[in-house]
Amino acid sequence: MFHLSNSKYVLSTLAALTFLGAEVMAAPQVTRLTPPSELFTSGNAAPVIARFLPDQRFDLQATIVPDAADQSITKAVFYMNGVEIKMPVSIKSCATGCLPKIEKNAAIVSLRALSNTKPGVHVFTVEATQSDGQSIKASGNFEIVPWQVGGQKVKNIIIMLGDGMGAAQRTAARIVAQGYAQGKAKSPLAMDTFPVSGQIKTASLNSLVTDSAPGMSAYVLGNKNNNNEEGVFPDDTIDPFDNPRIEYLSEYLSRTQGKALGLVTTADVFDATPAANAVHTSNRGAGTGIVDQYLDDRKLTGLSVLMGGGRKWFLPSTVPGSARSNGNDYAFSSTDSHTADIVKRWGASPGQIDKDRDLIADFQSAGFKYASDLTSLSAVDVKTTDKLLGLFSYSNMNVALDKIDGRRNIAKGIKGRVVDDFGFPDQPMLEEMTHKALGVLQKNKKGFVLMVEGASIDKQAHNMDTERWILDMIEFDRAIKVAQDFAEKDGQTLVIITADHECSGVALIGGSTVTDARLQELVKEGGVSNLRDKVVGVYEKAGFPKYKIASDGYPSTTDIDYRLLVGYGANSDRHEDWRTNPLPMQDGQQPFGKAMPLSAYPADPVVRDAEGKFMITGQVPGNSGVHTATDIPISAMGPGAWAFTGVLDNTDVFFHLAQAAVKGVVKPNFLTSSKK
Amino acid sequence: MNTFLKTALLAISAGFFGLTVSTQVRSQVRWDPNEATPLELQAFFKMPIGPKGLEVSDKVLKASGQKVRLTGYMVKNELPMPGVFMLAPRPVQMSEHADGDANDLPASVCWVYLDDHQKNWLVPHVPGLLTLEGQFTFKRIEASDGSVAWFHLYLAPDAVSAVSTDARLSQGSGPLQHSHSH
Repeated sequence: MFHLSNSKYVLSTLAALTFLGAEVMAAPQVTRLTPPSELFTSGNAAPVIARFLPDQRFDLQATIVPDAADQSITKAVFYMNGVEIKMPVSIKSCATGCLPKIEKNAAIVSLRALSNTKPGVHVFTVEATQSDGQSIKASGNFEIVPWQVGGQKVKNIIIMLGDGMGAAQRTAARIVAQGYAQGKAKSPLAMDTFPVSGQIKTASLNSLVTDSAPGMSAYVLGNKNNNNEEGVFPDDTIDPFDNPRIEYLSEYLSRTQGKALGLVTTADVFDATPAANAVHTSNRGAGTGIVDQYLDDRKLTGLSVLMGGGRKWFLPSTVPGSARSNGNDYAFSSTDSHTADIVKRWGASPGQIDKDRDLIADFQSAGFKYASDLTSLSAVDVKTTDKLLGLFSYSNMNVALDKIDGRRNIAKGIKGRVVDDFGFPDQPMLEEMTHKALGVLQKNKKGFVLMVEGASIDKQAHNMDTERWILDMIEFDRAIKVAQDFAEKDGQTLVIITADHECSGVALIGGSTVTDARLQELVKEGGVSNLRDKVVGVYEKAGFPKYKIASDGYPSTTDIDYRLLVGYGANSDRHEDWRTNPLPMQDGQQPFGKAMPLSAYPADPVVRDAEGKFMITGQVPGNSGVHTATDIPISAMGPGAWAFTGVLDNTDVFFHLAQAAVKGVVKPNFLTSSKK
Repeated sequence: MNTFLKTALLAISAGFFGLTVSTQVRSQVRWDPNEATPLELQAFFKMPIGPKGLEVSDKVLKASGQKVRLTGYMVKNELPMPGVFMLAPRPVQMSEHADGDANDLPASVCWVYLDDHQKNWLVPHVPGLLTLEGQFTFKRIEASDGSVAWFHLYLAPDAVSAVSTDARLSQGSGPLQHSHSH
């Protein structure tokens, strides 16, 4: 596999050199050149893959392989448009620390924290020399996107990120939370009231189907990352923290304007979406290093608010339950310029391998107030709080349905409420976290960037647990309302609502034609003829499902008569009975500690709901629904909102956000009346 | 104990093929409640969990190094690990490919290890409550990938005798290997 791609790179290099009219007799080979470009990969100057803002920082890097085992790379120089870049270039030998199939005498050469202020497409070149004097050149290109003369400058940016939220997920939330009458929604979701909408293409650098890391980072880097990577371009080393970096929106606006950063999620805070706003790593799973970098590099990112789950990463390894590990921590060398330059050139923290670190205490020492539950979060006085850390669960927070059941004192857990089972009975809802985050962040006179993630829209869609992701959609919309109210009052805040990708190919296929009581009977009778043919109402038989909304804003029950029915187009094998799963993935009404070794209760989508014997064959292997490559919606309000219409690449969003914040809002061309 | 575990894992294998474990087989399980100390996964930590750390219960401290009986749900991994699986107080499905360690696992998850000579075997997932006996240890163990486990249950060597050699990791290409129930 590697040899194929290696050969491709070699051919690509030769093609690029031919294109540039360069000397092709040199023996060393450039097998990777970063930033990624079609010029290097295929020899084509377009499309330009990497784009940056004027003065946005990024790394140049190349992997060079000598032509013989007794050769090594002795020198490397980078050029910009043919002119040598007079900045230090590190040379890392691949004798150690490179991917297994990289030759041991290969070298990785890096030039850290470059920036360029001149708009347009630039050609960069690496020239490397091996020990016998032979050299090689290879080139790539990137673009500096020009500023436009703008009007009002946006002070604050709020990104509402519904993980896995496609168009169908939004529609489902509207049907359940607002209801329809004779074809019209009785009232809109908060997200429906945003005046501007568009469509986003979500592909990552290495796949049509992105995951959350590059899905998020594209919005705040202006560049594509590989799946599982955030804030970096891919490289050939095994160190997940030494990859070529790209400056985040938060870092850029903190450096140039002093803006603060807030990250709020219902997931574990180390998860890909929040981390892809502030952390540079090629391994989204490197939990210890990720949470450490949040704090260590807060002066680069402006991090002032961090809330969600994930306490396991913050506890010293000596505390039972701690997930901290030296194996996924980070530390940069003070002597090896390959990583020392990250510290020197980027101003990043050197980090430390320190699984015993008490990160909560370190956050507190750095001035963060700490909230461990809703009670303590509510007690935080924003007037006296400039920085806030909230860790409300062990890993992911419980989903909205289970948190609401907890507040309603509904005991569907194994011992009491579901939130009791997890040991965190007092978790805040996303809108409560958002409200507090805004209270803290708005004190920064230079503005802020806030990312709020509804995380389990995606996670429960993976499980094809319909009611749980729908209620998380409602929770997310309630958080949007908080952001919307803030922005309307503030007048200087741009709010966008989008997703990183769609999840599980959700389709609203119709409505149930039976009452819930009848549905339960049909579940017992089972089979396709009962659970599909007698239940699934399509077209006019779908009707308009009517959910009753309780005073807390959520359905009093999701098991209504004539309910909304949801199908999945990217599903694994599963059984379906259309009814709400009482517990996440399980009916746990049996007393805990049952003596028999096995019970008939299922624990995955295949066997869950198996009572009804309505098996739906999946189109994808494995046990989970998967992300899809389908475009997803984007909505916007506030100054600069008009930039977010039409069909956009996910990386375009970054440039529109930055334009609005740095040079001011620009009226789109389509709103002008001039003829071509 | 061995009879019990053999039966349980026979059922695991059968369950993997979608076969029905007959109630007759299950009713033949010979269970001696005196063989091991029952330990509730739910009681590993003092609940609710406090503002910072997690506090291990006295029961766990006393049980470490002892033979215990645990009842819980086998965690449904998207990427099963050879020689080991997790037992949780609640049913949990993991989508590791999409979510990594940002998961819905409660803190009190116990790692269940097959005997060393079976370390390359994959145990197919079995739904529902599962009761297992083994040597229990409370100790921080860090895997080569950096993941950390605190609670461990070591099964007897013959506990997985129902899983045939066909289930060896090296012989299959799927995430769960073919196995035969005996």
